[in-house]
Amino acid sequence: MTPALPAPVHYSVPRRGIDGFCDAWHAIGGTSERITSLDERADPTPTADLVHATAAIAQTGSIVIDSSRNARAASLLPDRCAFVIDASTIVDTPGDVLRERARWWPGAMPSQIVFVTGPSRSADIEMTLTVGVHGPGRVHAIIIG
Amino acid sequence: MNDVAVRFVTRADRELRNDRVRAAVRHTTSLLAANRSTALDGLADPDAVRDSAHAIRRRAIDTLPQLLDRWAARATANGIIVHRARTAADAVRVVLDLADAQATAGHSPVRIAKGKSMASEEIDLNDALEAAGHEVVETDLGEFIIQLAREKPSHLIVPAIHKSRFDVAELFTTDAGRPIEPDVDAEAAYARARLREAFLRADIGITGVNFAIAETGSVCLVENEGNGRMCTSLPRVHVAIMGMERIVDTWAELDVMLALLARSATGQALSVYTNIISGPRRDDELDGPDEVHVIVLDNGREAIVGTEFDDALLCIRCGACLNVCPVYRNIGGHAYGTVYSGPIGAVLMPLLRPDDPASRELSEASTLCGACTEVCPVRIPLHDLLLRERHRDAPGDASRLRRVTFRLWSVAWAHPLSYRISIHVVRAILRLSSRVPKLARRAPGWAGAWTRDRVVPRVRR
Amino acid sequence: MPSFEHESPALTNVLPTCLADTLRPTLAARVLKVLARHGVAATIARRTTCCGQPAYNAGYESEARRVARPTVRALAKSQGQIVVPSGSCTAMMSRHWPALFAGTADETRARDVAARVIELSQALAAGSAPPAAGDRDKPVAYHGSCHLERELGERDAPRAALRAAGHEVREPTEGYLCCGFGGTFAVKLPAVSVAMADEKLDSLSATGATTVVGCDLSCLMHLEARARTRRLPLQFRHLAEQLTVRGDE
Repeated sequence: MTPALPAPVHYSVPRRGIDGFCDAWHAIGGTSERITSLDERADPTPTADLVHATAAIAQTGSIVIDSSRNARAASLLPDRCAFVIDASTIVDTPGDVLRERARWWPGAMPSQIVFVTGPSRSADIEMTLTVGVHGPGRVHAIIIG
Repeated sequence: MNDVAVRFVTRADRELRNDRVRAAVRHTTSLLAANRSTALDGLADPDAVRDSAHAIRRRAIDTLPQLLDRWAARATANGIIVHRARTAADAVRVVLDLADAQATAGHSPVRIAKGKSMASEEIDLNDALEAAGHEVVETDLGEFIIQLAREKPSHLIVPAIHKSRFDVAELFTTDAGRPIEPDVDAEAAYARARLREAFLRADIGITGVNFAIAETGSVCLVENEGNGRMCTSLPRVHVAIMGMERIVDTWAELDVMLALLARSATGQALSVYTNIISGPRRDDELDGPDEVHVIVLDNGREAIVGTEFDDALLCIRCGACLNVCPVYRNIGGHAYGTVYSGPIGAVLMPLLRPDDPASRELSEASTLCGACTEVCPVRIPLHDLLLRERHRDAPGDASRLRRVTFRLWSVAWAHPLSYRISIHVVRAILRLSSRVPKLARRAPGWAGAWTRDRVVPRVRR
Repeated sequence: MPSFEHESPALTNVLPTCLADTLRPTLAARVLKVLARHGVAATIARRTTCCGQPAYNAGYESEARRVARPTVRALAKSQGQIVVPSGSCTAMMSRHWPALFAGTADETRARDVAARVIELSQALAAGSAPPAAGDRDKPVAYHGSCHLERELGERDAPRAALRAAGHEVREPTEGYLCCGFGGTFAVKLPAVSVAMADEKLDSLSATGATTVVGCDLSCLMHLEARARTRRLPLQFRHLAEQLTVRGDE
């Protein structure tokens, strides 16, 4: 069974590149900084674990992480979490990751891939937004390059 | 609460009288419906994406056996243990056996952390696990509240839609043994601390599945809180329960489905965590479960495939139809008395439980206004399906009186002359009865059902 | 009054609908008047009964067929458009009749009629001259009935007709919500039906307009019956009534 590829998903206001990612990421409650190399970071956020991103998605402000590069717990258990993103891995849309799986994971699939789109949130009580209900409530993107 | 022995109309009336719940449900659903509408505008051509999603889901249902086999072969090769469960009891048995294995290994009582899963609600899993002496904790904030209240979820996406922060404070105070303020942040903080302990101690994590992806033998799970990730990452054993129809072929198809799911459900572009799980922890990975089991649940689904009703299986459980349903808005989820409520529940339950009169009668829970069909991301013709179910069930189900009424009516109106005469008779009756409103209010049957809270329709010359 | 005589063959037919026959017998004549203003000569279809929808939606197909059959046969003898002053009946005839009569002797007739059926406001949209209303300048609240808006997808035509007649058209909030009638739903789940009507009446009242206009007598009958129980100062008019309103109404 080799079906034709489903039609691509287009967006009414396309977000692209580093600026696009930052706009989307900030809109959902993330923070960010841009540096040229990790070494330049004199004071890496002390209580935050560094999680290395496989890719990031400008359209939705998502950071793609996987279990082959990071402990799952690192982006899950702390109150805050910092993701390290190589600027060259920022793509436009979720489709640029999902439809090009072999580019991102050429070998065996990691046991878990997660698209992280903002801080952990819940609106289960009276539709009032609360962040950090289980996962990290503060999420920071460090963009390199 | 979910008293199926009582007729739907009685349950609906009872829920309707709860003004506070009704206000909460109306408020929440209005908000979600508005969010959905705004979020879909974020797609350049939402209708084209919905058409694409419909085609993807339609083909999945049309090729379901092959697709499931392909997925299962890949999943097995990845190290996932696949279980097929024909009935609810079969699925429960699988989970109980897995729990027993943990107990035998010395983890007793077996501690289970559960993420949100409608399939697990469908098979009454928690009751079975608790009866077997295991400890089950629901970890989604809304589901945790519902579990403490010993109730059932009343909305697909917002299970505790009917609970106020005051209700929650009361439940949490009892659970904590100390006062918890009726403040949403304080309540969330309590749940975080309380459930964190459950995650760290759990032997088994149980979750649902949003989509299985055949191409790589993976399962995709979306959520906002992180509890799902906890359940799939921290315990040694992860058990995922999926309805057998929740499958797509490729990651490209998943792209289309994800573009619609969160937008339709909550108005987010993507949920906070979109997890794609392709197996247990690999040797070179730092953490993750040693065992991943996926239970593929039939429980009445396969029998729907290939019938005129099988569009119902396209559903991706976004809840958009609940939020625009004027009936759901007023009575909430509990009135339905079934796992699935709202329009999709009213469509699905008579199909999943064709022999259960209480499920069958849910096709009546609609004015056929079509608001559900209009918002369904995968274009399920929900109100047409409700109508077809009525055509299937009404001739055999409805009361004798009702059948006779329609028969007599149809005979009277089968000829233009008798039609004219009966119109005059009806006009006369309406005119007369509007002069005696008190008497009209006490009319029996359908006439009285109209006049109890509405005047007799005015007849003009 | 325009002439209904058959001096020239009138190609357009009007189906009065059973609810109009029962509650507002002059509605069909008003429809003719509105159509005439648009330059459409029409005649009231004879020997018709009902479209069968009450039974069809309640689940009784054979009863629905029995009732609809004379209407199908009478209309099949006509030519030209069939104008129906109800979104719901129009949807029943155009969307469901072909399936309802499939495999019966009336299948071809049902298909032929289904293809010619058009709801009143849609018929007006196709015409040219704007109608004149008796009380132009008055704001009206428009209730978009479910089957007109969603089964037929017609949102613009009725609003355009009201605006062309000089009315400011006001929209209730969350206007897509059903009024709660739903045929036998109104009596099978009366309390829910009334709760839905109340929500609709509250949002209609909040528009500040005192006249509510719609294209389906069924919704209007339901809303009016509840509004009068609540003693709300609202009056309910079908589009054809609003467009032909006289000074004393």
